[in-house]
Formats: sequence, structure tokens, C-alpha cells
Amino acid sequence: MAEEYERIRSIVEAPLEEEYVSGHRTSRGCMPALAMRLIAKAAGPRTVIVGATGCMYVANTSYYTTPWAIPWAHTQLGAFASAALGTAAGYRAQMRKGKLKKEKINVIGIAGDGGGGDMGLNALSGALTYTEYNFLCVIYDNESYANTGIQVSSLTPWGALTTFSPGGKERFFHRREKKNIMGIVAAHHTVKYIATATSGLPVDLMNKVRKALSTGGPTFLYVHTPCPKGWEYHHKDSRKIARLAVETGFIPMYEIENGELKFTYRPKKRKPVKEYLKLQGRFCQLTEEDMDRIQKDIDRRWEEWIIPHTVPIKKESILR
Amino acid sequence: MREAKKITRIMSGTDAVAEAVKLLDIDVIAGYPIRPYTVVQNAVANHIANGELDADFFWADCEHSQFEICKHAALTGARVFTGSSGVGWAQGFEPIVIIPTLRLPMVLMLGNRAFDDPGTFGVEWNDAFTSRDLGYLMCWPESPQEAFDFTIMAYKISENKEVYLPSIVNIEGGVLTHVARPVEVPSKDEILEYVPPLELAFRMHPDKPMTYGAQVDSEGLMVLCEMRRQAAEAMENAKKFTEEAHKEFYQKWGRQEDPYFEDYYAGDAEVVLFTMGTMGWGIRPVVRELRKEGKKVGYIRLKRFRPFPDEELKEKLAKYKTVGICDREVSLGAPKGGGVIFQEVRSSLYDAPSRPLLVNFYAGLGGREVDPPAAKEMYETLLKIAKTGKVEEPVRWIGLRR
Repeated sequence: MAEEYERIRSIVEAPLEEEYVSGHRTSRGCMPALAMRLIAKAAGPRTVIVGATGCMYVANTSYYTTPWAIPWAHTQLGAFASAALGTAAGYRAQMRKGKLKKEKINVIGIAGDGGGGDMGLNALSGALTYTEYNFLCVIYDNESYANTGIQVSSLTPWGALTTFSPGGKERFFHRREKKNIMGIVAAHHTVKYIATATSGLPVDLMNKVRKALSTGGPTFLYVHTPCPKGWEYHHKDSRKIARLAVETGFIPMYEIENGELKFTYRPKKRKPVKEYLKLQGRFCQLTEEDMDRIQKDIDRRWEEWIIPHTVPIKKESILR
Repeated sequence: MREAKKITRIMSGTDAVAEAVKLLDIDVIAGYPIRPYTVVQNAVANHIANGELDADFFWADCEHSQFEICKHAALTGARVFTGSSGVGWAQGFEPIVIIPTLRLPMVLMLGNRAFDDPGTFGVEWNDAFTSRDLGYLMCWPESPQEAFDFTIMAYKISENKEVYLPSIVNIEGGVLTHVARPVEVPSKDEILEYVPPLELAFRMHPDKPMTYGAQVDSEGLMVLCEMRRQAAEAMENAKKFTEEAHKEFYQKWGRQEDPYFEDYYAGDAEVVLFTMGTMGWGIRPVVRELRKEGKKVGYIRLKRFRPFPDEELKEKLAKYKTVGICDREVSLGAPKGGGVIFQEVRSSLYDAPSRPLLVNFYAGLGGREVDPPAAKEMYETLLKIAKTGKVEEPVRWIGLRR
């Protein structure tokens, strides 16, 4: 069972103290940076973070101007989970052996969709099986390798333009489907708490961070984080786009706690995904048919899958 | 009367390293199977399973994760142990290059193994030489006793605040990793007196928030150049503290007086073979045989490769007529097509007032035994060169089947 955690009821109740302050060089409306701020704020001062290479390293954590008021260490692109595990192990061993004062130190490993969903996947899978260690793995998803200039990752949605899948005379060539990272993590029954969140719902995000950290063991958080630069939209629309991703059902909001699934935001009626797609320049090549295809795919995930958006097995196939 | 504390046991090179790991009170260990490194991990696992060592032990999902786990445990101030072999070393290479730039005083064991393909378990030194320029202190023990002693000293030197550079203890795969000899083992208390507990000056902890490995730019603050310079100074310091560590070790246990070289009939020799690791096993009997025939041959073994004992080497080798250098790896396309040790020795001797003739032998590649006939072939070549004063073929391949 999860320990009690201090629930934040509304944004005015959130701690005033910031652990992620000025000094970063991210663009206006950068939702990954907002996610960093909210994660650090929710976790509080007795926290250490290991962050993989990515935009939240290169644009975010510069020498002499670090925005981190809590300890933060760079780790390699594919190593957020193994680095978090190693950090947790270092503390655990030294505290057990009396080499370090016993106390609770939150350990958080953070990677983007490329570092976490592509290169770091085996490290994540391996680390999540170590149930004796307390650490939270976070993937923030801006659906591209943004640090290197917006290249396709396995979490880039179908049809999106990137510098590795540019527009041209030919029909767009990014025809891969977005990887179901939550389904992969959910298959790790060793993880007592996994959740999806978004920078667009800050209170919910902060509570999920706190809940994960108080649950203990390896835990996982997926955070959807729109990127004005990579997705080609006006920065004033960041919050709107983040929320539309949820309201259209493109990104579901749920948590799985000890095997129990709970939707934390379930739109009564999903908005048409077109509203979400049309705000973003990266989808400008899509035809009406393409957008219908995406809509159908979302509907299928919600209505046909045995666990919406997570386990890609049709409901009726189980009943047979 | 023999001192009561001294315990002598029969151990392989890897058992000896594992014994050192046990006595050094290591906190975090991560392994991933690859022969011959696997055997040290097996031995360490046995120590933990028997309650002889209290450490957190990880079965990593790959070498990359293995080194990352230990790197970040080390950043919290824990004393860690890990390592690999051959292509496993290559798989973990990304964190391996970071460990010295983060100035983490880690000790890695490298069970030297030739790179694939073709797949082989035999020893070559190329896996180690991938890392020779990165900021690792590197040693090449020859016996299980040395494997034990050098592992202990590696922690002492690396963990010195004036050094804070990692060490690689090279244990030649399939040879020293597996061959057992008697090893004298001091008590844990003695070891921990020699290597006191690690107090990492920049431990990652909420009490003292710091950002590690922040992105730097080349022009604005230019800290990268300065950091490289600091590391270079630390490497210079490492030489001084290596010598001190040996001195103290010798005073305590009467072994390892010379930090860099072992001489074998080298004092009055005219020609010597010069190499590292275990090749002397096949060379020494030949030296004795040739000495009986009145030939002035000798053998010198280099124990430490980084920091390289530049001045000492110059002094050591200047007096010989001819020196043969054995390389257990091929450096393709290098000057004269010669191996890494050959290049290093040539470079060291460049400004020496007098220089011996040098010849390079590619010997023992892929773990092929450097047996007495091979050693004899090398000495005969050297004696001939000493007589004629001419090096017609600067690089020779030994034991090649045609």
C-alpha cells in the first residue's frame, strides 16, 4: 500500500518553493520545462534527479546557469533508468552500512521520448524489475528528438513532419505508429505505480509525482509535453494543445496502482482529433482522409482494446 | 616465526581480485556476463551469497547499464566495483568514457579479450587500449598475487583527492583470469587501514545541491579546456601517488617495491625483451636457458601503462644494445605498422641521449601461447640485430602459421 502523501487540491495549494528556477534556455511555451518545474516542486528539496541527454539537458542545464536548486546529474542518452537505479543503490547500500545518515531521498530519473522510449528501453525494463529500490522513472514526451533539431523518435505520431521526415513533393514518409510505451511499462508487474500525466494538468501531474514517490519501489510516469518549436505552433497555444491532446483522447490520463486501473480524466465525449491536429504545423500535410484515419485509430484504442490505450487486445476476443 | 596474520591461499587472478573486493568493503557491484570477466563476478557473487561481503549486487541488462549503475552509485559516494571484457567493454563504452571526465574514483577490472570477429575467448590488449587516452590509470598484473595487490592499490590511488581518476586493472583473459597460484592475503583491518573509507568530496546529496555534468560551451566560459587541464594535472599527481602507494605497500607487506618494472636477468644484459602481463611465463625459462649458453639476454616487464613511466623507462632502456617489444594487439596503420607499446616506447626514447635499437614483435595474438620456442625466436632475432647493428624488419609476427 502506498504511504500517505500530501495531496495538492488546487494550484494555490502548491508549494511556493521552487526547485527548478531561472537559468534554462528553453523557448516560450516549452511544456517539458514546465514539467521539470512541476516535478521538482512536487518532489521537494530532499530529491536528486538524474537526467538523460536531451533538450532538458542541453537547453536546460548549462554550466554556471543551472536552473536546478536540487542535485541534478547528467546521464547518457539511454541511461536514465540505470542511472536512477545506481543512485538509489548507492544511497541504500551506504545507509544500510552506516556510511550515510538514514533518511528518505527521492531519486528521479528523467528522459525524453527518444532517450526513454528508444535507446533507454532495455535499461528501463531492467531497472523496473528491481523492487527493493525506490526510484521514479519519468519519460517526458515531446514526440521527437528535440535537442538535436526535431528528429523522429518511436513516439512521434503517424504523419508528423520532422527534420528526418520532412515535407516534399512525395507523400509524407513518417508512416510509423506512435509506440505504446505505457503498454510496455504496464507489462512490468513489478511496478506498483504507473501513470500518465501532462504539463497541461499541473495539479494532477504534481499529485502523481508525489503518489509515485510515496508508493516506493520502481515507479513510472509518462508526461505528455507539447513543444512549440518542434510541433510548429504559437507558444500561446501550449496549454490549449496539451489539454486538447487529453480531451480528444489522443493521450489518455490514467494511473495503475497495484494492478488497479483508474482513469483520472475521462472525457464524456471526446473532441474530434482534427481540432488538435489543425493547430500544429507538423501535421499540415495531412489530408481529410489522413485525419479520419487518426480519428479512427483513437476510437479503436478507446473502444476496442481490453484496457483502453494500454493493452492492444480486443475486448471481444477475450470473451470467445 | 611466521607472522600469524599472513594467510596464503591458492587463487586464480580473478579470485584474487574478488578477494580484494571483499576486503575493501565495496558497496555496489554490477555485472553482465561475458567471458572471461564473468569469473570475477561469479566469485564476488559467492562472497555475497556466503555473507562475507555486504554489497548491493546488480545483474544488469547490458554493459551500458552495468557501467551506468556503478557510475551513479559512485556519484553518491559509494565504493563500487565492475568491469568487462572485449566486445562487452565496447558495449559499455559510452559510460566508460564518462567515468574519468566526471572524475569518479572507480576501479574497473578488464579481463582482456580480443575483439570479435571471429569470436574468441583469447587475450589481446585492444580492448584496454580503446581507453588508454581517456584518463584511466592502467596496470597489468602478472600473477594472482599481483592481481590482488594492484586491485588494492588501485582503490588507494584513484580515491586520493589529488587524483580522483578511475583505474583499470587489466587481467589477461584465459591466462591470468583462470590460472591459480598462491596468494598472501592480509586481514581486512590491515587493508582498510591502507585504503581508508572513501569520502567523495563531491558526493551527490540533497545536503549540498550541485549540478553534475552541465552542458558547457567552447567559447563563452571555456571551462572544458580548463577541465581537461585539471584532469591532466591529476594524471601527473597520479604518478607521484602511485609511487607513494607502492612505498607504503612495500613497507607493510614487503611486496611491490618497484611500481613500474620487473627485471629478470636484465642488469648485465645486452638485449632484452620488454612487455606487459603474463607473456613472461614463457619467456623466463628461455632466458635461463640462454644464460646457461653464455648469452647476455634479459627480460623487463612493465607493470603500469598509465600514467606511463616515461623518464624511468628512458633511464632503464638506454643502456641496452637492442630491445624487443612484444605487443599483444595489432595497431593497424600505425607508424611502421607497429603495436601500441612499441609506439609508446619509441616516443619515450625519442629525446634520450642514447637509444637502443628497437624491434617490435606481435606475439600471443588472440591468446596464442607465447611458448619457449616463440621466446627463443625473439631472442635469436635480438641477438642477431645486436651483432649486425641493423634492424631490417622493425615489426615481426611471432608464431604465425604459414
